Amino acid sequence: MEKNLELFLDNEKAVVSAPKQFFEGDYTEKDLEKELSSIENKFVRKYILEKYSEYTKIGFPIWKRLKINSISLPEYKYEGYFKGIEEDLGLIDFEGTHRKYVLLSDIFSSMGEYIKVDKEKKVKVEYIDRITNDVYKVNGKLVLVRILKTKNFSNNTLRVMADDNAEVEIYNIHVSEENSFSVDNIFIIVEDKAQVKVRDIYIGEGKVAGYLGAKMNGNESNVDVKPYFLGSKSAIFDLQYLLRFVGFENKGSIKAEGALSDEAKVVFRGILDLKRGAKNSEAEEMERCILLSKDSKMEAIPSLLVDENEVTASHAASSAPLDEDAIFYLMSRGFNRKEAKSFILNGIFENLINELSVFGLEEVVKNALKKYIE
Amino acid sequence: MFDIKQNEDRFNYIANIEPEYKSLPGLTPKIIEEISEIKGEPKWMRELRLKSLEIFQKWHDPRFGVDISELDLNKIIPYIKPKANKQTSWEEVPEEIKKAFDKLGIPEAERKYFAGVGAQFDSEIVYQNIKKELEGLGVIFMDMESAVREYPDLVKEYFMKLVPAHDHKFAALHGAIWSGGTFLYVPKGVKVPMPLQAYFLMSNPGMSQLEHTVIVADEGSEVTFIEGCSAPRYNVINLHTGMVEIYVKKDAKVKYMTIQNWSKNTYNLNTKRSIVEENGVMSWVSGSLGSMKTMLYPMTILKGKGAKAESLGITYAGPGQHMDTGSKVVHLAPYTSSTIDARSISVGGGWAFYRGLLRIAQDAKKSKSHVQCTALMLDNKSKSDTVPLIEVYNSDSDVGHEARIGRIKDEQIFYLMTRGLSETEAKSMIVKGFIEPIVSSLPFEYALELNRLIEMEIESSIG
Repeated sequence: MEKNLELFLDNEKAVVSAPKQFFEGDYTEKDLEKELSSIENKFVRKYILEKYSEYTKIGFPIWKRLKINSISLPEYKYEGYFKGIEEDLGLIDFEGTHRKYVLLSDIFSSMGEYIKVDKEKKVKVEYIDRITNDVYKVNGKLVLVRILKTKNFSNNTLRVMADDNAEVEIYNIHVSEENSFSVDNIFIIVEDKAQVKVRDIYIGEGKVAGYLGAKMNGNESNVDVKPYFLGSKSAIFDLQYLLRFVGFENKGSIKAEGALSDEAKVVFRGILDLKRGAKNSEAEEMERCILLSKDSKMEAIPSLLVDENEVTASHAASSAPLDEDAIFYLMSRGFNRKEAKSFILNGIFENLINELSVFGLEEVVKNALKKYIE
Repeated sequence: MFDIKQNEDRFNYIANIEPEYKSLPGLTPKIIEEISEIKGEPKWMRELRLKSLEIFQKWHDPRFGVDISELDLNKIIPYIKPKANKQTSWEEVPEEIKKAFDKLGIPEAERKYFAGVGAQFDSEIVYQNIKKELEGLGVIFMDMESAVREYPDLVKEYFMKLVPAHDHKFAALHGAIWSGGTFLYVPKGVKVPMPLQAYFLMSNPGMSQLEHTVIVADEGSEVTFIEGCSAPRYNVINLHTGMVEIYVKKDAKVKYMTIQNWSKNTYNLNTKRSIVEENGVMSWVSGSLGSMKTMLYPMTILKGKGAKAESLGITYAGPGQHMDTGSKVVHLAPYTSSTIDARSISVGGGWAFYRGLLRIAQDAKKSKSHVQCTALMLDNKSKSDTVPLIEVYNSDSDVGHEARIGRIKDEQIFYLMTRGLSETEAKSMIVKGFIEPIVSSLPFEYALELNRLIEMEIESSIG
């Protein structure tokens, strides 16, 4: 299993904290039986049983920053999934936001797809309040648009294997309603000369635990991740990004931008992990957050973990109010304050809006932005 | 270049001094009461110790940082009293203790530069000198045991109030078996004209040193305090769990400098904290070089409007060392500001880990902070990590953080070698340039010392 934090040096190890757990509100063995009774594929049955054995040993995490100490899972319902499921299902195993939620998708997902992409493929999925489990193996080019809407609870897991020279583009759009809770876990294995681009967008008012991990196994690949967030009311976005550099001459960057209003909070965890041997790799991380109200909050934990000295690695984070000088400048040119604010916020999201317009999804961001400008 | 071997002797020197009292290893109420009895402590201090022991026994190990699973606290000797009374003249200190400190260059430094030196040998302060002019200014500068007896109300007001025993496991341990350290009180408006100094030496194998330092800088006062630490090498584990509490009152300024160079058998699990009132300034300058494993995060709480914190630190992780260090700053009041400049060097299989906290509370409007972490990895056997935590809870403060990890570039070494330097000399010169901001802020004697230590470490790691 791919761990998020691998803190050791030869025989020396560091202590890694683990959150406290709770077990109440979980699915039962009856739910598992319901699941298994609908599955004929022997491999899948074995896979699920193995995962379930691990699943029962760990509880749901008590997340202090996300204020999660109980859970209300939807009634379990099997809907059929995994077109053409094969043995590759277990190829990528990872920890994610928390192992429990990854396993929840592995065992109790009600939907999901396993797709091999040999040439060029565009996939658009839209999940509302689902537990899903998707796997993509890419030899060609994949453009994946995911729209994840959460009204109550959702738990989505995505695994992508970007093989040699593969091109992967993921547009991950989360829209959460007030008082909802969602977890999204994505893990990508990146082989030689693969190109991966991710736009990870969080909009709304709910509690979200988001995770995106990419392991650059091969050489000369490029991973470009841009998270965006727009939170309002009592939204809490606890977002974790991991770029793990294993091969040499890889490039990876995480550049996050967002704005928060009302009592919204973002917890931004970015980990750049450069392993010994990742020579001539370039790792970069940046986070910029604009707090628009007195009760909005930003927490950032940008981590650089470096075992290899022949690398370039840097991170930066900042938090600041709206640039009053910029507003003053715009107002001196005849705009009112609201318009000036609108210009600045739209400027932050302009590139994203342009990229989403290809899929006709630009309104998702534009509509969300309107709330912040009023 | 300096003579490397001469420096190495410092750690190989073992003073042959019979202790007057040596407690049994382990932690029991009986041992705690014995320590308190020997020190002639008032009831409140004895109760503080016993309460701390209770808390310690309930606390779990830290859930982060270095692995301390091999640290068996039942084998640690909590208290060793050397056979020496407190002296105010260096000449009166027993010859063997003097030899140990001579190795550290303390008397020389004191003669040339410093006003006051408190030298702690094992668990007790054996030497303390203060110039008459400081006494005339009303400055109280004495070992902690004497202060507990002579100024009980003043000490009680501040002792473990900033870091209470229930703060963490090692704070509780400290509360139970603390010994030695310094009490410094600077009255209102007094600007202490020269740095005051304390030096701590552990001489016995398997011992713990838990000195307690309290500095109170009253309104409008200024003081600089320098702390140095060392211990000879043994094959068993030593533990250093000191505690520093600094109270910076309105408009006061405190600069606290440390060069930590414990030997490589030492767990250095230290706690340092300061609280700063209106327009006060707290400056930390730290050099962490020695020890096997260190966890140390000097913390500043900016409580008053316009208070300011500065932190400048260098961490050096050589072979076998795991250094988990960092700075913590909590902004509680408006118009507060902080700057953190943390640098680390890892070499020869050393592990430098920066762990920081910056918190801007909701009421800390118009606050500003800048955090900068820079790490230099000299080879591929080493590891360098930075994990800062930044929490911003109001919308009109400016916070910036940046970090970089890298190596010495071949072109830089090549250039210096074309000018006649060897590869080691070239690397050493680049490293010295890297730590220059820290070195230049230290008094001359310590700057020289830090440069020598870094040079020695680099020589032994990559030479």
